[in-house]
Amino acid sequence: MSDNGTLKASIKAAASRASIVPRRRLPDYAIDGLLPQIAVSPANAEETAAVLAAAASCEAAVIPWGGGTAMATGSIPRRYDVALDVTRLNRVVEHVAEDLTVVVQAGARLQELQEHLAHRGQYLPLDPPLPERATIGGILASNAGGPWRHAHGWPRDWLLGMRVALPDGNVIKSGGRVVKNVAGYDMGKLFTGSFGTLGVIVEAAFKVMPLPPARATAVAFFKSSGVAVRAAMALHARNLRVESLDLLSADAANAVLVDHAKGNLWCLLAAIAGNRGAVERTLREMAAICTGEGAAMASLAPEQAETVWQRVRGLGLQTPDRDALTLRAFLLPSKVAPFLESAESTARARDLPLQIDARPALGAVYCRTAGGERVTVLVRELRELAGSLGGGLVVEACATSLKSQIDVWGDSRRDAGLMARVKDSLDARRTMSPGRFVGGL
Amino acid sequence: MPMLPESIIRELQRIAGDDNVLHAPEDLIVFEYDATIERGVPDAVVLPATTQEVSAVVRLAHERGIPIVPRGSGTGLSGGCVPSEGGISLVLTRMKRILELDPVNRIAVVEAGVINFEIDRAARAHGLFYAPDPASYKSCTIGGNVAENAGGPHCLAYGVTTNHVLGLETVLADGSIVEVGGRMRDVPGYDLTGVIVGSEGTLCAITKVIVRLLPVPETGYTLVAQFKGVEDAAGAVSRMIASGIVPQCMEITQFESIARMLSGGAEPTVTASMIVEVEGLREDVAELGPAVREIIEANRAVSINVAKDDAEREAIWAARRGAAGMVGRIAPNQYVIDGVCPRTMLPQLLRQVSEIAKKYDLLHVAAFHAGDGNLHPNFVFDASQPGVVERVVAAAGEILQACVDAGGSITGEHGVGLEKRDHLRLMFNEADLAAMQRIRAAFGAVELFNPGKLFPKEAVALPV
Repeated sequence: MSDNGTLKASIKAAASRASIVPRRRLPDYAIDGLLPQIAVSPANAEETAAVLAAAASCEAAVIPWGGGTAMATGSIPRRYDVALDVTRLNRVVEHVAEDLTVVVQAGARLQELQEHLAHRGQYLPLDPPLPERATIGGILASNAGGPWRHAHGWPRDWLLGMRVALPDGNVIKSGGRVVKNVAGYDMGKLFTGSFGTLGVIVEAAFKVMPLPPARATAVAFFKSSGVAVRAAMALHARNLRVESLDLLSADAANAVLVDHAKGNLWCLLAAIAGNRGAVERTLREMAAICTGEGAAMASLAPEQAETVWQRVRGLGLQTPDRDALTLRAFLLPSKVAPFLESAESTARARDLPLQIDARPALGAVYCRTAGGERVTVLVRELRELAGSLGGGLVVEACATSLKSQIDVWGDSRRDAGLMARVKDSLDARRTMSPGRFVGGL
Repeated sequence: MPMLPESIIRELQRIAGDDNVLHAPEDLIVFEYDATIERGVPDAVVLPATTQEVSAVVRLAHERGIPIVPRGSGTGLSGGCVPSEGGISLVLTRMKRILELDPVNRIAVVEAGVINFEIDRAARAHGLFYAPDPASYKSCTIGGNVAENAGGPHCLAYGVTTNHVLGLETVLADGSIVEVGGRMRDVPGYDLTGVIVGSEGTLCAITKVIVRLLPVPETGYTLVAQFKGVEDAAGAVSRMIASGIVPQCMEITQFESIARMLSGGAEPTVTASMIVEVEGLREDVAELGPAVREIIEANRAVSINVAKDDAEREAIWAARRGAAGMVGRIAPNQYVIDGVCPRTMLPQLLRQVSEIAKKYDLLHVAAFHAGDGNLHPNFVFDASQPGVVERVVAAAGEILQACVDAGGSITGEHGVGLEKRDHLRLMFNEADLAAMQRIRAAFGAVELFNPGKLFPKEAVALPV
């Protein structure tokens, strides 16, 4: 990297004065204890690309920022010179309700987009934590999701097209705004989930959906995780109108349900959405399956349900709490029950209480704990456990000190070499978020 | 035609076995085509049986600078597997084993040469199905589907191939075998699977595919409606989407030109038909079925038939899938266009297509995925008549331009291939194309895999 003065001069030449974030706000852009030398919040895509090119020419490192809700995820940056804040790119560019499509700038907050869509009875079925802060670009870059993944899948499944600013100074587009399009390589997929290591997403087009006519939330309490997973998979197999299906450990359930909590029982929480008849039938069949497995049932009023789901999304949340640790295991659905059983006993042996939110049908298990130095061993043990079951484990949030002891992303992958070549092909100078991603990319 | 040296043929025979290497002209000619009007004869055809054999063939070709053109069943609709620059046609139809079907985790692991329909059939034994259903589903391979990111009628609700592929086993240009993605989608890393799906054989050879399976819906409601004019059918589609009803599929067949040919000058009473299918729980279907019917009636349907059972439903679909085959009885050649427009623009685009066909004096019919805005105008002609091919190609270009002008795409599911490579510039500028070329370079595939496809003919300059 060139010296400070040259970098700042180059960035200031590339961006308008209004786009330079005041110095006093630099601490807002801290990552793992590191501060950038300068923060820029560009007004448009071209300015974004110009800033990237200026930084690249100085061999400086740029880390893109949206709402900052997922910035705890990733290894310690190898270098960090420029924070690139996309939140001024916050317009809904075009919502064609009759077409069920929307084009939106990357810095728009999810909640603002949802409110915009709701005026026409539609929504984008993605529900990561903190929608009032999380931006569209950040959601795509971190491949973020919430409980709705159960029914609606990943951000990539709703993405139609994308515009991206690259470190070579170009703004490229891929895809489009029609629901079916195979012209050219599907570059949008590459940037989705790339954690800001290839370019800066500046705009995206999505399919959207009509809001469901009816919604309901049902709760079932089980004595053990094994029985609860069996009930969840039986419900899943019926192919009913379940939108989310989360299995919470007693700890997590108590945090989420508060007054409705039932002491030391596992809690299966289901959001159900569809037309009224289908919702009622789903509730009926869920009750039959769960009581058949010996569970006690409860239902939540709509306004309670909304609060409860907000808390569920917040369970995996990255807090500034230095001791907090959030892990995400990914498994085949059939391996969730054995994972939960062993994870519980591992945590008990280490005397570290685990808050668990499992999505059995997705094979996703979020574990949360706080325990200072002792968690290092726990992470290793749980990672080994997930690995022995054919899956893996990502540390989504932890203290910076832990990041220097373990790789938050886990073991290297078989396609690591190809990933590195792809990285080099778009970002040869390693300008974009160097060292933050899998395999040190 | 540059024949391959005898030594290379012998080397290929050593890898794949004598019977699995074709090099006599009369054998090669069989592999010069796909379902378009594009033609190109390979210098050799190799039919490997294993990933290791594929790897050995690719490594040999790489060392000797011979192009590799991967091929499945040859049902493609953009010239993707036509060896326009010669080289080795790598035919994967012998790799046709379903390696694993895991009903609990709803995954199948299959070799690239497995027929789409075979995956679906194996899944249905477990109450599951494989969603993408191109019209050629009984003969096309999953490897070809992945290469082209194939669609089909039911993609309106379920998405195209990319939404159903979790991982791939690939052979890269240097012969290395690389697995991308996997059985779980949550694995961190670049979504290389997402880039390879739809890359039209230009990045790597695909040897295995991990697909996602879905549970078969409880029940369905299928109707076929007849309309006097295609605008009425298109209006019903727009109305349905706008009112928040997204059926599993909405297919329009347009046959005005044939109806006029046969009506002896009288005004035909029916020139278009539409299939709408709603699937789901009994409760969903009971509510949506009548709602769909009401919208269709309001859009002046001449008649509506609702399938009473599976046999009637199958008859409706057999007619739709057979459309292209039926057209073949009118004239020897057809040219299917794959343009996409925003669904709100359907009536306008259909009007434009008719005007363009009239301008070039071409007979056209269409069987298309109206719910996706994916038009398939199909010119029916006799290529032996002088000048007709030129008129067809010119008309196709105008239609693609109209789709792009409306905010759409030049291809919804068939791919760019040879046919539309020069039209890609209607959608992407030099910087967009250069970024794609860099990805291709990262795969090490620029000279080797499927040269001359997808990218515009004049090479895109790679910024250094």
